[in-house]
Amino acid sequence: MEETLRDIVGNVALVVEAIGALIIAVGVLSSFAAYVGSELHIRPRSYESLRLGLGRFLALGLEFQLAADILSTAVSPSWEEIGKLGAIAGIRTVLNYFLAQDLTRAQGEASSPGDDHPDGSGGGTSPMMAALRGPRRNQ
Amino acid sequence: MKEAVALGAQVAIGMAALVAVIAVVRAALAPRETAGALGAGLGLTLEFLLAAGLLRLATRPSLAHLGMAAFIIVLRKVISMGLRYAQTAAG
Repeated sequence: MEETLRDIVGNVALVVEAIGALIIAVGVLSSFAAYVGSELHIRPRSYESLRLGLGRFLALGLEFQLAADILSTAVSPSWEEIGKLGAIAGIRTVLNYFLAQDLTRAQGEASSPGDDHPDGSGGGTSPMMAALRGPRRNQ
Repeated sequence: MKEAVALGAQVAIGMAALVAVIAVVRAALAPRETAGALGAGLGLTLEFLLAAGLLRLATRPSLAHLGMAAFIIVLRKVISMGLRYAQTAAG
């Protein structure tokens, strides 16, 4: 009974971890596509909004991976495993915290109604944001 | 699965390198027009590198490599925050 439970939880954790990694991979690919489109002047966006768009994917992927870590704590068999898990979960938590801080700050700065756009392209529409960004390109 | 994730991390590093090279070349060619763009471009580079580090972390590295991976991730985040601080201070 305990063995099967261990197996099930372990497999679920693996799947959730893979989902997190997949989200990050998708974020990297789509952000790079957006970056290429921006450089070729097909759909210009500021570097900052691209960075925040990728950061959003990273935060979501991290959340899934943290869920996987939490599941793994339920079945960790050895001290070495637990130590590794603790280090990984610690770093993910810290990163998640800073990413969330980044995103909320960006949301607070660009307080125009259009900025809840999912890809973050709504940022930079307010005059204050444009002034903050200074003489950067694509503005 | 490990191989696929490791490959993804390498692809992300390649993209980061490309973004950095383009940002630097652009800033070198037209320093006036792109004031502040170099820092922003490097910020985007670091975000890609951060993604690569997170993907690598998902491959469950050995304890020795884990410390290194963690240190690199933190280092990148600190540099990224420093860049942003410099930008707001300058702007």
